[in-house]
This record gives sequence, C-alpha cells and structure tokens, in this order.
Amino acid sequence: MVGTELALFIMIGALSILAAVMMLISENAVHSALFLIVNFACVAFMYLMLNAPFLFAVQITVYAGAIMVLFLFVIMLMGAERVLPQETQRFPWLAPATLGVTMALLFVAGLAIIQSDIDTSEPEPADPIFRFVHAVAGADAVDVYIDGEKVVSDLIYREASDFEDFPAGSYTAQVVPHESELVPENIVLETSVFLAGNGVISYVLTADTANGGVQALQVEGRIDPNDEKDFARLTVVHAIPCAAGTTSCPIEVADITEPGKDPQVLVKSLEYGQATHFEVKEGEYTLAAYAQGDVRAAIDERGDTDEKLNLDALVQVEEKVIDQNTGVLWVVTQDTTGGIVRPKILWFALDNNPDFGSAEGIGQLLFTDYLLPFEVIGLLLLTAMVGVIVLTKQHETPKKERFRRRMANVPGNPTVEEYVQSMRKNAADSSGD
Amino acid sequence: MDKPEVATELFVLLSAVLFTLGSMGVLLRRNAILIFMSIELMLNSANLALVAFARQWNQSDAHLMVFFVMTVAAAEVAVGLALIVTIYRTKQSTDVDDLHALQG
Repeated sequence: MVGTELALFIMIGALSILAAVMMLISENAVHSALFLIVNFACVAFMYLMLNAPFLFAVQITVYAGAIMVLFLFVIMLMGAERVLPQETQRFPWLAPATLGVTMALLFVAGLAIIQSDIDTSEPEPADPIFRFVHAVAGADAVDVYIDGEKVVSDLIYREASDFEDFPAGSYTAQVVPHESELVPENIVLETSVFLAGNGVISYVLTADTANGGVQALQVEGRIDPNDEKDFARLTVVHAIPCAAGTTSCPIEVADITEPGKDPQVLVKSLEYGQATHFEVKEGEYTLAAYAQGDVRAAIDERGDTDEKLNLDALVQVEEKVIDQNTGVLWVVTQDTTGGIVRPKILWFALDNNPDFGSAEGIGQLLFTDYLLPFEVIGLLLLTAMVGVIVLTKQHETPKKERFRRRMANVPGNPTVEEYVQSMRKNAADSSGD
Repeated sequence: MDKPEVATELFVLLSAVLFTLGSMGVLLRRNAILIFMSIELMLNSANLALVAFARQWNQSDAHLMVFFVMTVAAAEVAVGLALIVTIYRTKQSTDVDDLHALQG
C-alpha cells in the first residue's frame, strides 16, 4: 500500500524528471525555458514536502519567477529561440560518450545513496537550550552567570529570560542581584547544572523556605516540531512556599472550564518545589490551582479575592487558547502587589524555538549566525549588477573622434585639423583672387 | 521523531537523476542559453539534496545554504546572460562551437 505522500512524491518526481528531459530535447529555447519552469515548480513542491515552506516560496518567486523571466526575456530579445540544424554535428561521438559517462555517474551515485543507509543513521544531538524564570515573589532583579560568563541580565520577577544555547556538559550557575559584582558575598544561589544534548531546560528560581534562600527547579521539556501531535503539554511548577511551620502543602490543578460539570483534576498532590506535566487537547481552558482537597471550595470561590493563601488559590486563565503541539510552562507562585499575598500563575511557552524551516526560523539564523555571509552575498549581488551594466554597455565612440581616427589611419593623409586648415586656406585664396 | 513517509534516500536519488540530466544538457547541447539552463537544473538538484538532508538531520542551517545558493545563482544568471547578449552582438549566434577565438 502506497501512502498519499509517497504517491505524491512519485507523481511529482516523475513530472520533474519528464520536464527536465523535455527541456533537454526541445528544439525551441522558449519551450526549454517553460519546461524548466515546470521542473522548478516540482522542486518547490518537494521543498514543501521536506518542511521548508520558506524555501518553497523563494523557489517559486526567485527561481521560477525572476530568473526564468530573465531567461525568457533574453531569448526573446535576441530572437535566438530557433536552434541551428547542424547543432552537435561537429563531434559525432559526443552524444553516446556523454550518455555513457552520465549514466555511469548516475549508477555510482545511486549505488552510493542506496548503500549509505542514510535513513537509519542518527543525527548528532543539538546543543541544549536553557533559560531562567524568576519566580521569587517580591525579590529584586537578578543576573545569572554560567561558569563566570553573564548569560542573563536584569531578570525581574515574573519574567523568563530568552533561551541560551551552550554545548552539552556540566556548568556552574551563579545568581547574583542585578548589577552587583560576581563575588562570593553577593551570590544568592550557586548550583551546578547539567545540560544534556537536545535538552530544553527551564530553571525556575523559587524561594527556598527550608533554608531561607533561593533554589532553582529544573524543568525539562522538548516538543519535537516534526512530531505532529494533537495535544499540548502543560508543565506545572509549584512555587508557593509552605506556611511557616508546615512541611507539606500540596496543590492540585483542575480543569473547570465548564462550570456545570465536575472538575477534572489534572494534577494531584504537587508538593512545593516539584514540577509535573500533563497533556491536554487544544482548546480554551479555565484551569484552577488550589490547595489539595479543596476542589469544591475552589470552584465555589471562583473569582473570590480571599486573602487566605490556600483557599483562594484559584487562578482562572480565561480564554487561554492552547494550540496543539506546543508546550506551556505554568509557575504557580505568589503575587505580593498591594501588600496582599495571592497565588499567581505565570504563563510561559515551554519552547519558543520557531518551527523548523519556517520564515521566522530562517530569519533568526540569517541575522544571528549567518549575518556576515548574508552581507557578503549582498555585496556579491551588487557587484554582479555593476558587472552586468558594464558588460552590456555599448561603447559608442563620439562621431568627431571616429572621423579623425579614420583620417589618420590612412598613411600620408592629413589629420582633421590639417584638412580643415587647408580647406580654409583654399577658401581664403579663392576669395583673394 | 516519527519516520517520514518518503525516505530521504528517495529525495537524494531524485536529486541525483536531475543532476545527471543537467550535466547531460551541459555536455550535449551547443546553445549557450540551454547550457545555462542545464546549469540551473544542476544547482536546483543540489539544493534539493541539501533540503532533504536538512530534514534528515533536523538542521535549519542547510536551508540557509540553499538560500545562499539561490542568491549566487541569481547573480550568476545575470552575469552569464549579459555575457551571452554581448557575444550574440558580435557573433550573431549563441552556439558555443562558434566561439573558438581562443582555440589553439
């Protein structure tokens, strides 16, 4: 049984080969150019099958559009579409020799491709990416150093830093208040972090009530963009410190989207400092976080601004649309604005990497890692443009100069000036008579 | 990652076939414009292989590479066609066998 995608590949692939062959054997250059456009369109379709929508658009607009129009323009401008009948007759052995050589090339290449086991080989793991989330209620902005190198600056409460990428390995992370020196007495938190290949790690900085400091919770998650799923992954971090004197203060998370129905508990007994994740279908959700066992109270007090920490732990995420195949990080923490301590859910995308092959991803690469090559290419295009203008410029010699040159070219002939002078002299002589 | 339905090998094979056709065009045809089109075909097949491997290794860098190849191809086409136009003005022909001024 041949799948739809494979059937499409075979059809479009056959069409592209047919178009290429027709391009080769067409008698008329205009027909060749049109067949080449068909071939380019087929290749563009292949790009679409290979998750490269941006290149698909560029292929259609630049290749099939601009470049081929240039070809057709030149062919029609010169009237060179007719092919001379005596073409390729100069070397009669050329056609069979070419066929033999290229077929040998194709055979060797095909053998190499088939024998190479491309599809079974595993790719190198990508560099891990990580970020820090500041969830210490009321604390000042912090800077984060990794092995003495400042990677995050001015991270304020409720914010997440951008993702940074480091080669896989073990590092030491140090957190200091913003704009303070990296000296031992300033360090709020020092922890070793292990970054594994392909990892997407969020370090959530939370208050550590047991030791009276700050701790970093490690939350991992990677959504493979090529792995189409019809659900989203939500990661919940419990970052509300327990009340003084208690050691256990678990929370639950329930789906209370439909008020009439029984709430669907998604996360049970999540202790302070723990993280868990669950999967939901895409859609709009109202989710509540509350102290364990208090689900009825949480629903009854929906929207209530009760000051008790454990009871009003109800946070509604109204009309929060969760797309499929995404990751979301929720940090349940405290909101201390206005002197009232209330639970608060911070919402972050788990992995903000743009889709593979999207225009956004290409643009990001183009303006970060490949900025210099991009500029060099731009310069090359500019040079090519100037070169084309210089090449096609008609070198018109001024009329007067051409005349003088012709006069001077014949040995013994007078130059223009002498000629004019002699004419004038003749005229004067004749008038003097 | 789920295994893609169309194997990377098939894309690379298609790319090899297109490249072969392009090289045949360069060797067989004597019209300079057709030779140019065949070179474009070869560039395209190389791009196809690059994009296929980009999916295989999950690396967007190859897409950048293809982007750059396209840009260079555009510059090359502009200069090449300008050369052909200039040659056509003097020789009144685009047959590469007529261009034997440097023949020993």
